[in-house]
Amino acid sequence: MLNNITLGQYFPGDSFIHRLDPRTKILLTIMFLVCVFLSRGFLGFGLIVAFIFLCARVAKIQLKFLFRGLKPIAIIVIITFLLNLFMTPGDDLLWKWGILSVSVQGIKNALFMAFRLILLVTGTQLLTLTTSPIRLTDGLESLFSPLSRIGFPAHELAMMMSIALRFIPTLIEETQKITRAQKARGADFESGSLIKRAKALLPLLVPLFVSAFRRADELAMAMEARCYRGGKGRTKMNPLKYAKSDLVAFLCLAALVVLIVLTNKSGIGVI
Amino acid sequence: MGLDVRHLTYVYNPGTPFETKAVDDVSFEVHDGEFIGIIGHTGSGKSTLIQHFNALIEPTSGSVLVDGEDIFASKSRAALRRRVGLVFQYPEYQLFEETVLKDVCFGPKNMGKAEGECASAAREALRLVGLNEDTWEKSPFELSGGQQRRAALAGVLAMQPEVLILDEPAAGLDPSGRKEILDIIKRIHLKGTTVIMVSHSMDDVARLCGRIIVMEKGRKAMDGTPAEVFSRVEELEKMGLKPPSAALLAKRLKARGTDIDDSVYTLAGLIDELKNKLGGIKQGA
Repeated sequence: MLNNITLGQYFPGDSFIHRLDPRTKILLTIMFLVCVFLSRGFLGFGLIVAFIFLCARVAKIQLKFLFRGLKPIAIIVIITFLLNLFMTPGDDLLWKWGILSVSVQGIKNALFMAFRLILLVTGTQLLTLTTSPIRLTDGLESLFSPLSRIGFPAHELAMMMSIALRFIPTLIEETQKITRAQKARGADFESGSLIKRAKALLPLLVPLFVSAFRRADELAMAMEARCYRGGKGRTKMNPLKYAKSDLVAFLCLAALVVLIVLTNKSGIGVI
Repeated sequence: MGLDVRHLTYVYNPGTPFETKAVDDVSFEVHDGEFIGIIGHTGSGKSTLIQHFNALIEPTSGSVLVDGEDIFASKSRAALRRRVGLVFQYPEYQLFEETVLKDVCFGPKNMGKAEGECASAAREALRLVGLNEDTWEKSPFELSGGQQRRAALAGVLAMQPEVLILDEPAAGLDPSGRKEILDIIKRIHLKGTTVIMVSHSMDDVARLCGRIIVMEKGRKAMDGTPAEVFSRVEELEKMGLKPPSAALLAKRLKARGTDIDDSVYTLAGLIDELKNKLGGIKQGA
């Protein structure tokens, strides 16, 4: 039940995209988001889809992994689609029932918005699928570090993030273990009313919290024992360095932006 | 009651690149009143295997029969779980109630017993594991590690299982805690409970069990009395298992020319053997 959390799951590999600097990938993802919002028609979207497929191909990521991340947002996509379908005012009505009406413009709008959401998620998935959580937090820390001059705790936030990410699988495993242990003692997590089921979770939650605190305590102790004292003056084992490939990647996305602006100007397929 | 394990196979992550066979076609029978030790290297499938015995995980194929009834087919898994008690590794992490007594009551209560019955079963279990009355009203989190382990064990015993399965019951305890918990298990066995104990300590298994099953890479590699299993020292060592220290010492003594029966595997057996032989030398001289 807890094994299907793909959002933010790293897919190891050694491709051009995997090797890019995490800072580059974060910035490019932001540029990608801008592209999605810039595009005003289906031609632009076609370009973006082609771009995503190309990236997936280069990174050797199977498409099913890209689409798996869509499951959690499926409901949002459907609601967006329906709202736009029924709520868009238009002259050329196709169907009308009470306050609900569907126009050609509505269909176009609904498809456009749903498509936009799907592209946003699949595109950002490329970042998390090709970047290990450690590199990702490294990249974020480095990008935010200029802000630490005005008191923004960039290093601390990055450390918190990596620790949290590191312990998600551990906690999932622990949850399964305790669930089984309590089931062996006859606990029933699956039947009964909502209140009864919520109460049944107590034998699971108490040990889970206790062990989470114990783990946190032990981790803090272990970090102190190895003289960890925050980000100041701390050097990295693998310092981030920009390479030529990062420039190439930037140019690729810049080209995409230009192409999308051009398709908007040309007016082909624009809604 | 008897357990009959038939061609049990369990595959983790089937159909993905991470597919692994944790248990591979394992069959054996457990008879009433036996004390079985299951040993094997880390990742040999011991823990996965025993979780099948009270239907916590379903096998990919194969079955487990309790008194001739397939536990995965039967609708009354809850009833079966109370007959087969499973104590997980580090069971103290499952403690959650306000007091020790209440925590031990959790199992019997889930079985639908009346309040009074629960409490008396819990008290009996707590006495059996040697926790004094002054700890019963304490929070389980106030106890020492060894006491917590015993309280958790009592939590399963209070359900009065006919078969008790333990996964590394002595792991992470200091020597005196180890001895205490193992002595308790021995006492429980003597009272008539069938016991299956997973352990990586050959010495413990050699001392306690009447039958040993050796697992390797998900398969049953050996199954027999301790004398049979520990006579195959080379094979055990090939699997990365260290034979009991008494057996090793006997083998080395023999290799150095001492006239000694090297099939002993417990400390007591080795001492007897040495007394015999050394005594014999004296008489001869």
